[in-house]
Amino acid sequence: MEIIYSCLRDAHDQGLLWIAALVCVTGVYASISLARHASRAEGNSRKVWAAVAIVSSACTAWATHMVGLLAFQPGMQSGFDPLLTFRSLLLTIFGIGASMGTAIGSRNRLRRAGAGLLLGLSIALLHYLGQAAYLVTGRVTWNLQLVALSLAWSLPLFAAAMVMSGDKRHSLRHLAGPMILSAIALLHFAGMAALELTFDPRISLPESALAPDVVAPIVAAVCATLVVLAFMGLRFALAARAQATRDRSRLKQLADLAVEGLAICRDGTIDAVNGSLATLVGCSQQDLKGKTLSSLLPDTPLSKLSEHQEQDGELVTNDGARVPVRLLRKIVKIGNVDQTVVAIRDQRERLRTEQRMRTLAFTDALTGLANRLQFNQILSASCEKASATGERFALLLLDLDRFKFVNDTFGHAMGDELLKRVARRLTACCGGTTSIARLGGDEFAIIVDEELAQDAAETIIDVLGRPYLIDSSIMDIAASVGIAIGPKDGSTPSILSRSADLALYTAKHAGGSVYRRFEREMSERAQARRQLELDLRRALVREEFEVHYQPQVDPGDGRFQGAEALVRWRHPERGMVPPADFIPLAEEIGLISPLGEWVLRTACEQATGWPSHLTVAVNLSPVQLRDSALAARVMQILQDTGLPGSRLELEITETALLQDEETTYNTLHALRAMGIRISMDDFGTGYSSLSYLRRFPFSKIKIDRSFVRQVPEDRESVAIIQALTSLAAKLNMTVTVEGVETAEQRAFTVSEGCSQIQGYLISRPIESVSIRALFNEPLQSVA
Amino acid sequence: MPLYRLLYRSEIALTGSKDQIDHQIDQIVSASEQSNARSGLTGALIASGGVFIQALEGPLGALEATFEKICLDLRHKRVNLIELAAAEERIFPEWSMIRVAQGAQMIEICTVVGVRESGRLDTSTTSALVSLMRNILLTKSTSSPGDEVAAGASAAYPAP
Repeated sequence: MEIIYSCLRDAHDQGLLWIAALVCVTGVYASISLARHASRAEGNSRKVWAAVAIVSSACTAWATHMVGLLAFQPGMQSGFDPLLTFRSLLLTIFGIGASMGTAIGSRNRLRRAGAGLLLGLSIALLHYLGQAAYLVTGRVTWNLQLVALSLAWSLPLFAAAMVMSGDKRHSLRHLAGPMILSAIALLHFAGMAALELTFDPRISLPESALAPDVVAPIVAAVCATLVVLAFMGLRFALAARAQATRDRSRLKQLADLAVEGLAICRDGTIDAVNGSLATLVGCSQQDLKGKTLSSLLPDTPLSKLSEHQEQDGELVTNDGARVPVRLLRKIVKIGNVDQTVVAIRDQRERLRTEQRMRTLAFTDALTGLANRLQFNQILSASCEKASATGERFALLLLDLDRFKFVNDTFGHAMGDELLKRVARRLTACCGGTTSIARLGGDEFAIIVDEELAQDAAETIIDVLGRPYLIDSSIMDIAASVGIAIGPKDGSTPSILSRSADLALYTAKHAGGSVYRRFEREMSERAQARRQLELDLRRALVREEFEVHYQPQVDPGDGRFQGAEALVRWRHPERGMVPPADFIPLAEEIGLISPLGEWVLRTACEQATGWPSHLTVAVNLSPVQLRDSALAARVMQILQDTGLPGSRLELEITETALLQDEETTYNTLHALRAMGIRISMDDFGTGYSSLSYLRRFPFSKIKIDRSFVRQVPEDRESVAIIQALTSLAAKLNMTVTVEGVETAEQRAFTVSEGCSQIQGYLISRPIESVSIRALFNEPLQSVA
Repeated sequence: MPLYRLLYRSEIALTGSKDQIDHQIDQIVSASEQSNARSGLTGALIASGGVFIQALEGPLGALEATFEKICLDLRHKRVNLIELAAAEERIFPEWSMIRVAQGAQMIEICTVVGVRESGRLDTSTTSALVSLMRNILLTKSTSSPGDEVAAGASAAYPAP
C-alpha cells in the first residue's frame, strides 16, 4: 500500500491525476445513465443506446487509464505503441460488452458475480495491455507480487459491485458505482506501482511509438466525448425523472378518481392509499401510510386474498365501525417494482339497495304486510316444520265482505285507505309474532298456533267488522275467515291453502262475518262441483241438453196459447239434472251464452212444427241480454228456422235489467221491432221497480208462482194479483200467472181477468215430441 | 271548525275481579283523558252491566282518529257505532273524558243503548242520551253520593 501511495504522490503529475479521476467519474456517470436510458427505451433505440453505454464505459476505462499514464512521470522519455493501445481499447469494449450482456436482466448473484469478474478482467487486461503499450527509454521490470495483489483485490471488488448493482436495496445499489471506481483506481495505481522503470539510454523508442503530445489530444477528444455523453445521460435522467413524476401524479389522480379504495402495500404495510380509501376509513391519506393492512382488515390476512376472485370482508374504520367490503388483491408493476395493490370496495350502498329490493319484493307496498311471495315462503317453512315435528299450526284465510262495494262506491283511494286500516287492525288482533300477509285485493292470510286459531278468527271478525270512519264517511265491512290446520288438512302449502280456501268459501256462502274450519265434506262438495263443471262443459258438445215445454193456456176456455221452453240436462250417469243445479254454474263458468243460444234455436226450430197460432216463450239470461249482438243473433235464428217473430216471446227477469240499461234498452226495442214479445218474468220477487214497466217495451207480466200458491185464501196475495192484473190491463200488457196447481186458483185467475195461466194443473213441462203431439190433437184445449 | 259528536257502545272484554276491572276502567279513562285533551276532544264514558257507552265530541278528524284507536283496542268487543253527527255545541265541555258514576238513571240509558247490539239511533234519541249522561255527572258533582238520581231527567229522552 505504501508503494502505491508513494507512487501516486511522487511519480504522477497531480493535476492530471485529478483530471483522470474526473474523467473516470464523468465517464462512469455517462455510462450508467445511458445504460438506464437504454433499459427504459424499447426496440432498436434500446440496442443502440446499450451499445453506446458499453462503448462509453470502455472509453471511460481507457481514457482514465490513458490520462493516468499521461500523468505518470517516469523521469525519462516515454511513448505509446499505437497498435497495442488501440487493441487495448477494442478488447475493453468487447470485455465490458460481454460482461454487460451476461449481467443484463439477471438477478442471479452468481451470474452477476461472473459478469463482474469479466468486467474486472477486461479492465485489468486494458490496464496491463495499456501499460505494455507504454514505452520508455529504459528497462521495464514488473513487481509480479504487486500485480497479483492488484488482481486479487480488484477482481472481487468488481464481482461484488456487479452483484450489488443488481440488488433490490437502493443503498447497496448506490454503493456499486464507487466500488467500481475504487476497483479501477486500485488496479491502475497498483499496476503503476508494480512497474519499475530503470533509465537505460541504450534503449530508444521505436519509430512507430507515439509521443505523449500526440496521444494527449486524442485522449482529450475521447474525454470531451465522454463529457458530452454524460450531459446527454444527465438530460435523459432528468427527462426520465420528470416523466416518472408526471406518471406518478397522473397515476395518483387516476387512483384518487377511482370509486374503489386502493391501497398499495409492501410486506403488509401500506405504502400509499387513494382518496376513496382514506374517505372510507375516515382519515387522511398521509395518516394511513405506514399502517399495517391488517389494522384495516383484521379478519382478512393479505395471504388469504385471492388475485382472481373478489371476496367479502370487513373494513375497520377510524372510529371502529365495521364496514362490509369486497376485496381483491393484484400484483401490479409500479415503476419497475412489483407491488401489491388491494382494492377495497364499500358494499354498504349495494347491501342497502339489496335490502330495499328484498323489502320491496317481499312486502305489500300498500299495507306493509308480507306479500304473497313472502307468505308462500313462510307457509312452506311452516309446512316443513310441521311434517318434521308433527306440530300443528293454523292457516287463516280471510277476505272482506262488501269491500268491492266500498271500492266501487267510494273510489280506489278510499279502498286503499280501508285496506291499510284493515292491515293495522289485523296486526292489532294477532300481535307481533304472527305472520300476516296480504295476498292481493282484499285477501289476507295469517298463520297462528292451532289452539289460537278460533280465538284469532273470532277477534278478527269482531275487530274488522267495527266501523271505519274515513274522510267523514262511515264504512261497514265484515270479514269471513276460513281455517285449515296443517298438516292435518294439507301437508303441502298448496293443499293446505286450498283447504283454507274451501273453508273461506263456505264461510262466505254462510253469509259472511263468520269463520269456518275446513271439513272433509267441503272438499268432496268442491270435488263434486268441479266434476259437474267438467261434465257441463262437455254436455253441449255431447248434446245432452233437451228442451222441454210447459203449455200456456187461456184460463177461461182452456185453449192452448203456446208453451214456455225450459232447458233440461240429461246427464249420462246422473239422469235428469234440475236447472237450479246447473244454470247458476253455467252462468258462473261463462257457458250460459252458448247454452241460451242453443235453447233459443232449438225452441224456434221445434215451434215451427206447432200450429201456427201458438207461441213459444224462451228465457234470456242477464248475460245474454248484456250482449249488444243479441238482437242480430235472434234475427238470424228466426231467419234460419223460419219462425215468425210474432210467435216468439222472450222472458227476462228484473235483475237482468239492472245492469247496463242503455244496451238492454236498445236490444229490447230492436227485438220488439221484429214483432217479438217481451215478458217480465218472476214479477214481484226482485226489485219490482214499476219504472221498468214504463221504460222498457214489455208486452206481458208473469206473476211469480209464490203469489199464486196461497190464492185464494191469503188476502194479501189476492190483493197483489188483483193490483198487478189491473195495472197490466191499464198498461196494455197481458198477464200470465205461473204455478197454477188447483182448480180454485184457476177459477180465481179467470175471475181476475188473467189472460194466461201455466202450471201443473194444465201440464208439467214435457218433451218436445209430447208437446207437439199435444198441440196437434184435434181438440186443442184442456178444459 | 265544525263540531261532531260520536256515540258508541261496546261490550267490556276485561278480565279479573270486579275491583280489578274497575281499576282497569279508571286507567282507561285517565289515559283517554290525556290523549283527548291533546286532540281537542271532550266526552264521557259509562261502564256498566258489561257494556261501555262512550260519547266523544270534537273536530271530525280527531274523532275519526280516536275512534280508529278505539277499534284497534281488544279490551272491548262488538263495537257498535250508535251515532256520528254534527253537533251544535259540546255537551261535556268541562271533561276531556270522565267516567259517569253508577246511578239509577244509568239503567235507563242502558235499556235504550245497552241491549242493542247493532243499529244506529236517530239524533233526537242520542241527544237525549248524552244530555242524560251530563245530568248524572252534574248531579253527582253537586249532590251527596247517596243522592244520585236526578228527578225528571228521565223525561229528557223519548221512549225507545
